[in-house]
Amino acid sequence: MRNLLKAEFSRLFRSRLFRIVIILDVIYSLYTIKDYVMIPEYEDLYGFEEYIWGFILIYGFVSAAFNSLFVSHEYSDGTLRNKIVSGHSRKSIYLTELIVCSTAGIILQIVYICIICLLLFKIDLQYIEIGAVIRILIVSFALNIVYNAIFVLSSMLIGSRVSAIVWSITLSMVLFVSAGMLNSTITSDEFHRIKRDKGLEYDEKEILSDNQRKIYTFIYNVIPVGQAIQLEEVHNFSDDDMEASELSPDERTVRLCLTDISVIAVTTMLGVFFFRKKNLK
Amino acid sequence: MVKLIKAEFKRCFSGRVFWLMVLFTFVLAVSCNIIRLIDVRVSKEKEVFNDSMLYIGLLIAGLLVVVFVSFYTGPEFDGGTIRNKLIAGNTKAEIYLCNLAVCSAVSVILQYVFFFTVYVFSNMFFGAFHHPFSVMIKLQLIGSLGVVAVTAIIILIMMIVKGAAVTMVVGMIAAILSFAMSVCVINTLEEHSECLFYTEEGYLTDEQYEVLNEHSYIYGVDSEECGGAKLFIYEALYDGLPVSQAYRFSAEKELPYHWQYMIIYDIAIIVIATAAGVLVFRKLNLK
Repeated sequence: MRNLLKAEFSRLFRSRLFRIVIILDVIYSLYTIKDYVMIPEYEDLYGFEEYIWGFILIYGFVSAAFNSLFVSHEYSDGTLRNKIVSGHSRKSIYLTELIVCSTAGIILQIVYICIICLLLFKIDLQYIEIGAVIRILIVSFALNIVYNAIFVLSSMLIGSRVSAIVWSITLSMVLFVSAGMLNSTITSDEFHRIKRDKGLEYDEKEILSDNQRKIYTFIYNVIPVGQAIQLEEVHNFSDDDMEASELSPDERTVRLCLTDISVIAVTTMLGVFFFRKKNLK
Repeated sequence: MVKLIKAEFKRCFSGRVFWLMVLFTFVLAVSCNIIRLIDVRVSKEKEVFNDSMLYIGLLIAGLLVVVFVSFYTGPEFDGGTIRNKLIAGNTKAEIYLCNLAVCSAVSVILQYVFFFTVYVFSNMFFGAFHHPFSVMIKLQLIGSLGVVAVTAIIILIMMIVKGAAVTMVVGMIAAILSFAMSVCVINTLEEHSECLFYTEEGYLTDEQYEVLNEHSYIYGVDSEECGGAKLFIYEALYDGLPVSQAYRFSAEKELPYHWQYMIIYDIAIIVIATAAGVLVFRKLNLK
């Protein structure tokens, strides 16, 4: 597997696609912080913390496109068969692809964070909540690997290059839309519950039953985009606002990370299982 | 060229991709109606006008066209069959225009499949529309020009990147970006228009104020929110982006303000993208 990893990393770093994605990443990160840097009086609570979230929100689309192009190249060129012929197991081929794609994702995220750090020239360090930054970073790195696990699975199981791209990007859009819908349903439920508890006028139809609420929250926590949206609420990860939510920031971080690890484990096991059964023409 | 176009249409209609796309569009249109019906039943709404759903087909046209063009035209490049057409005596311009004609026809067919399916099912489920049928058809006709413009751009991308897979990625990202860009442009211009409503007396002439009142928008007048070159670009995108056009169709009960400009922009996009595409394709080295 070590030889395979060496070869795949060499392919990644020589790949024109990877260089293009890094350039786009740099442009995107500069665009994200443009307003904060250019406008002198622009100030925001959690200015730095909120910008960390910007990468992981759109990474779903990037990862869908990058992984399907990078991984499915193996199918179209027939190099996948060569690897099997030269004695590598299907499991090690699958895991190698996952490791390489995850590394590429983490490199992109590190590049983004380095550029975001330009904000530190403008924001005083004492205004930054280090605990929140670390928690958000941990969850966003875990999410990065979740995205890669999902899209490596789809790209390795769909033989055709074009089909892999269509399904991966469609899946990323479905995840995005469903997380948005779940977010608005859960937020509206919370809003009307609070109104009901305070004895104000509320809409009964907007309040979910306990079972519905549990299921919706579970799916919202499992979907990577749902987690990415949760990262925007920096106060949930900050020690200052601990009393504001039902979970402590550490508990929330651990819970999200455990969910991510479970998703990675399940998708990878499924991927390896089906890839072993796959007929490679 | 007539023979080539006949052969291309035959290949298209006998292929699986076209029928799968039609089926997908039909299922999507029906499911949109069913979801809306469930929503209406749950919220116990009484008067339902489903007009905005008629234009969803135009909003997602970019994504549908990218998928079709990549699956239909992509194999010609990847499989090298495009060279056979050249050997048979067709010019590169003819091949390009035939491809554009077939893909445009399919995109428009998909647009109308979505429109008529939503129209029939919405009539069955909810009964009525705000828009008169003649206005819907006029809007769909302008929308068709937008769809052809999108097709011309996607085929141009295909000529530049020379492969189905990369076209798919670039095209899908372009479709998502144009969606986001349209939302951003419309929001900015709505704020700009609101700003103009509350300007001090005398800033706008009576005639300008009348136009603003009538259409909730007036072209070419700067405000604190937006002005100069930025306003010019935003207004061009407001009229020219097919997704922005589709958004505006769903919000109006009649032909939108500046609809003539929409047509002009669409035709301009089609002509420029096709000319550029033919030029690029002529220079293309078909290995």
